[in-house]
Amino acid sequence: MGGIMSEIIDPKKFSKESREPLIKIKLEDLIKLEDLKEEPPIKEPPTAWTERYDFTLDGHAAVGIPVPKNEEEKGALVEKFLKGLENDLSKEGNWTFAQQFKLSMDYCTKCGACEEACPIYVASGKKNIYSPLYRSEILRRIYRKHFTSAGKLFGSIVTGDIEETWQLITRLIELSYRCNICRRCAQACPIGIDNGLIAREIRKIASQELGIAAKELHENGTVLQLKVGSSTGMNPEGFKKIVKMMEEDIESKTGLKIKIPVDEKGADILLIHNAGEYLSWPENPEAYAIIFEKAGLSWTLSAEPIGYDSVNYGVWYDDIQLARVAKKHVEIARKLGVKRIVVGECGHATKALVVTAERLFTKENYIPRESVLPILADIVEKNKIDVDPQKNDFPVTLHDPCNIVRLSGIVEPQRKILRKIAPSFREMEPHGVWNYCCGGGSGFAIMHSYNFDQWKNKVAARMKVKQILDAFKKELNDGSFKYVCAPCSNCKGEIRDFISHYKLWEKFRINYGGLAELVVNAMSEIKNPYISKDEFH
Amino acid sequence: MQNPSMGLINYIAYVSYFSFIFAIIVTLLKISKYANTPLHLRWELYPVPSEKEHVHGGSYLERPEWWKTEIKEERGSELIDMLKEMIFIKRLYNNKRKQWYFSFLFHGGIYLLLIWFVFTFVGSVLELANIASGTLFMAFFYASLAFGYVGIFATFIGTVGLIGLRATDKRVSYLTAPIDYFNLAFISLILLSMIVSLFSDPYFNYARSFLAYLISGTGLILPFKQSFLPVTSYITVLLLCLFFLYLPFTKMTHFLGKFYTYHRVQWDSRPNMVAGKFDEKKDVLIRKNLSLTVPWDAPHSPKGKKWEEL
Ligand code: SF4
Ligand code: SF4
Repeated sequence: MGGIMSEIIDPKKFSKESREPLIKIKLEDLIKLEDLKEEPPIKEPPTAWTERYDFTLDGHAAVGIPVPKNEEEKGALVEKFLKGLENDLSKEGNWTFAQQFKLSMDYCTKCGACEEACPIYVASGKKNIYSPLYRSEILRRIYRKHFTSAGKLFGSIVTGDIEETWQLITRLIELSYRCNICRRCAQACPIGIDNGLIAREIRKIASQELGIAAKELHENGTVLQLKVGSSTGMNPEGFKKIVKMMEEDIESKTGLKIKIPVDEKGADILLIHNAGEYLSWPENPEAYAIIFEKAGLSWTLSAEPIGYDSVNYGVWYDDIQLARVAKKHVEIARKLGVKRIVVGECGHATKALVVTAERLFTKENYIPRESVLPILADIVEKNKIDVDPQKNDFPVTLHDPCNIVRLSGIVEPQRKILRKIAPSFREMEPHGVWNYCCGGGSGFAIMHSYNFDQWKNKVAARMKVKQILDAFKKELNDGSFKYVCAPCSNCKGEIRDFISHYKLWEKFRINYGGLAELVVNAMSEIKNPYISKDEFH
Repeated sequence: MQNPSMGLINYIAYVSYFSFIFAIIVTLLKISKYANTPLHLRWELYPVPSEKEHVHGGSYLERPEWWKTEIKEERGSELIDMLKEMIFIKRLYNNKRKQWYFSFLFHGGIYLLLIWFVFTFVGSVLELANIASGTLFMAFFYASLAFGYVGIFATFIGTVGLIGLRATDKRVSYLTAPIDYFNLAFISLILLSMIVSLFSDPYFNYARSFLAYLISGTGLILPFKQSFLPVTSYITVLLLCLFFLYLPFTKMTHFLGKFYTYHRVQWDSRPNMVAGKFDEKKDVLIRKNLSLTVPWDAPHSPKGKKWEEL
């Protein structure tokens, strides 16, 4: 890894204006993926980008903040950021997370115990700017300098060196998008400081005060979802057409004639999938239609705008948008008169609607919400459908979505299912609540601007790639079909990206998919394989 | 005739009272600051030890229709996890072993010193009650000797080790502010002064007498012949007083922060609805939050409106 000291970027350097990136990502620094003989090289960003947008963090851009043109714009960036931080420390602006945020601002002892827990920091070859502690410490220094009496009185003796230049602000915002908000670091911190939360608070300040956010999360994400009904751009007519196609698809694949219920008033369950499933992996919502019908559940989908898309990107960057989307989901369910909302295989949507949004709802507008996984486990365990595990005769490993395990505590249902239907199931190490993020967490899976995909695949996803290769170590080169089960749309998106990037399908026949597909593939009454061993998509 | 040191000991006693009470008041004010922040959105982190399913890191969300079920909080396993973290600093042990050795000595030493304080306190009460002999008194006497010596040296080694590590660990030293060294240096100075005091007070007799003096209310009763202290003890007490005046303003009160980060954030997974019943208290708090006014200024923010009107 070379001379670690020479690579350390101190906060002074971080704030210094420059057009050169603070660090460069080099293959030789990253953790080794020994089973891969080769991997695509790292490319420099074109000057057309670097001249206009700020690429000075690490030569990559997720947000792509335009370089300010004059002193006025530079000053505004700093001023607004400080105003945003003030709001974020206030009860009115941040009742949602003020307690966690204040605690995490006040009590870090800078012991560094969180560093090794972070897959991004470790996979990067321990580049100090990616340390969970570093990002937070930059914000803490600004906080201490401007918002604590000790900082105001004693200056850098208390705060440490910090100069909040425009360059520091743009780099810090960009750096908040180098964290998956997987919160593995918070599990490691003896004090319980949450550096993942701090990354999210930085994103919030940027979004809610400066109007700066990753385009895929805001403009093409929550804004689009609230406007047309889905961040995919799908409108109700489009959705209804897809449902028709799904019914046809189910029949041609399985021979089963299934009528998918839409807007059925008074059904027990409103099932909401991530709308990305309908476009990229319709076999997953189709599998649920088959299973729910066969198990005799009373359920429905909704064709109301937002009612057919469970995503809530607000959970990654903006409390206002988080609350708006969650409110809509609940309103739609109440209008339909269902008894509960069930969120399909989507980690962040589960965390957002089932966990985080809980305290947005008063007694009058409350409706219970749950993940689909316990229901699926119940169906499989109680033999409400017949399964023949031998039909899943290939190696299967399970990717734990952070939002499902560490952040919602749903760990066993998916395992109970796999132990019953996949005889060659093996765990990754570590797994369960100690898992590693797929690299797509906190929105990365859907973010593809500029050269961010390169950073994501090389750094954020690297630990997961290593885990997957290790999980299939024995069969890696024997030509057998292998399945990474990821019960989450975003994780699937990310896994698809890195399988393609590292050519894991071509080299090792590693494929991926959801959990319900494996269940249907094992169903005795369905003769043709539901999962194809011959194609990667 | 009154000993000339009598006046000084009185002043020291007043300073001790003041700094101790001051530390408690400021600490309580600090606690109330965290205790009075609004009910936040849920942000728990698994494993949550109070949950029945905690053995595999799980939660009540693993149950279909969880809101219909009873969600009992298992205080026993929560306590075990808390103690593991408080006494053993488990997370540091698992994640940064090198630091843990010194941190454990440091924190463990402080715990021993707290126990030493309790024993010495009991010893002084026994003295005040004129039971300064006999088995009970001797038991406390020897226990306080053991805890005192081990505590002082463990804390001292721990503190010096932490300073050394901070200065040499390149991963954290560049983020260390002068105040971080100052805090550790301050503590090691107190301990050094304690060590020097051991030469003139090897059995903590002065310490016990001084405590008795404080308990009895500054000389209302003067039970012992040691009515004044050696200079080194004066210095130690004064340093401790200064430390008490300083402590509440520093992040060295992270033991408080830790209570909230664990109990009110990471382990706070209680839903609004349990066994079919909505928690009325939460309802009130949520309403209160939703009636706050949004101050944010970005184009999509409904600045000036209430959170319930988003
Ligand atoms: S966040 Fe926690 S683990 Fe990380 S340096 Fe701070 S106190 Fe240590
Ligand atoms: S939340 Fe995850 S990605 Fe972010 S700093 Fe912590 S461990 Fe690293």
